[in-house]
Amino acid sequence: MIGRGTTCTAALALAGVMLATGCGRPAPEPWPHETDVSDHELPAGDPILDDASIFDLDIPLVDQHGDRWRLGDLGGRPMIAAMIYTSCTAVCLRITDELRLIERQLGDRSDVQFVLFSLDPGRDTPEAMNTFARARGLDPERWRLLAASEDDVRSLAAVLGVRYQPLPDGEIAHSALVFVIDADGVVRHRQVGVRQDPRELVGALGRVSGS
Amino acid sequence: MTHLLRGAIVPALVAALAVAQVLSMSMPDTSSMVTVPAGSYRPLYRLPTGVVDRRDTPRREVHAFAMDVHPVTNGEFLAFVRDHPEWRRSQAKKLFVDRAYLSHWRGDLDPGPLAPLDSPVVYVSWFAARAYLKAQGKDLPTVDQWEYVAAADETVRDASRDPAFLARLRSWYGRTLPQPVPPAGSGLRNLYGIADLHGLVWEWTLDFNSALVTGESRGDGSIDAGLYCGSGAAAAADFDNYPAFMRFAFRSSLEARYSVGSLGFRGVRNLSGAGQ
Repeated sequence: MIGRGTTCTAALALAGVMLATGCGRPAPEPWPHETDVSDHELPAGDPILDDASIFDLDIPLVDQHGDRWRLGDLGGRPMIAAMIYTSCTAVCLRITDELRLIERQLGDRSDVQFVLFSLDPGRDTPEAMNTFARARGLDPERWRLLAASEDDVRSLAAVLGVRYQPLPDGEIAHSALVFVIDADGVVRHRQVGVRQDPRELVGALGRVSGS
Repeated sequence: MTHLLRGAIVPALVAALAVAQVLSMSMPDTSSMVTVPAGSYRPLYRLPTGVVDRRDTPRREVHAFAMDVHPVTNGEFLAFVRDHPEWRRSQAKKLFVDRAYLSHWRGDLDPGPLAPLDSPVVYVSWFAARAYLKAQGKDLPTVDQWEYVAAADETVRDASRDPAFLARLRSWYGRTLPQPVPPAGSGLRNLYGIADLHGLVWEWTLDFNSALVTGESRGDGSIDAGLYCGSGAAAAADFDNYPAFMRFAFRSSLEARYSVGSLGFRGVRNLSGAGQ
């Protein structure tokens, strides 16, 4: 069983940069120009991130109702997204709760969709995802839980920069990241870890939302 | 007479070359792979569950698999981008490669003097490496597979605690990679017959993005323990294996889109009946 610690280790993404810069090994060139990795608006002027759409990753998905999607089908509306697994007992629940808080703040007028991508293709069947969604009171009109094959999960995590490792006890250690993605699939904001205060995410959503 | 002969021989030669090229392109290149028998290795980091003895990591089992003898070369990657225009430097999607992708090549289909055809290809992203390998029915090795094979020196399967071997690795890691990158095969060839895991370029692994998760980060509820070099080394089970720690740190620093001048890749194929 897991200890009292966080199963889902937060802020892993930034750790790599720290390791690499702190170890005295000459940095392999060229290093990314990502200097502020804590919690940042992705720089709008960056030509890589500016026009790179996650929808270029054309992977099939299945949602909590058993309906089949392709990643690009999520386009046309902004989304707030995270990668979790439904048997997670720690930070995944806090991420979900934070997104629900944001949902309440946005109110009914917003066109924002709430998307949880599963890190656990083995266990996150449509039924398991639906059970999770009902237990957390997630509005099926607005929330989509999406599972993919093991290989496609690997690619999606790679695209989003989510680090994860399945552990022998069935838990999946992973970075706790929340993404604000615009209608074209471009990641516009990334938050590391769970906050008590969703203002930044709400602000980022306001900038990408049409309403 | 000579005219006639030349007229016959040249087309024949051209035809033979074309056949050879078709054969080499269409057949999976298994001749350059070596079967690695099943076994186990000692990972750098402890996994958090069920470990009582804090002095040592449990060994991790690895199924038998086949691994490329050499890292993929510029020449091989050139053949790939000829067939797959979407992976040429000018056309690869920015979601999958950063701006450094193949930046040492002279042109889309022209590696040029900084990228000799028989040298390992570098400045390739994880996505590009996997696309190349999938076209051949292969994939990247997992960290477990790579480290398991890389524990071998010329004579023993597990030299990971041999001070002389570790000293050689440290000296390789400390040196500057010559430019252009030396030819494939110029690094260490280990007892499996697999070359260049050490002594040439770093290599992508399938699950490079699993690095960073340590037992300590879960066990005491603090994420700090694994995040810094000093504490990271303290959390490692194997204090002497600094080269393994450097590989771990390097993988931790990567994102899948990065293209780095000292980072190449090679393929593996899982053998039927042997699950991942």
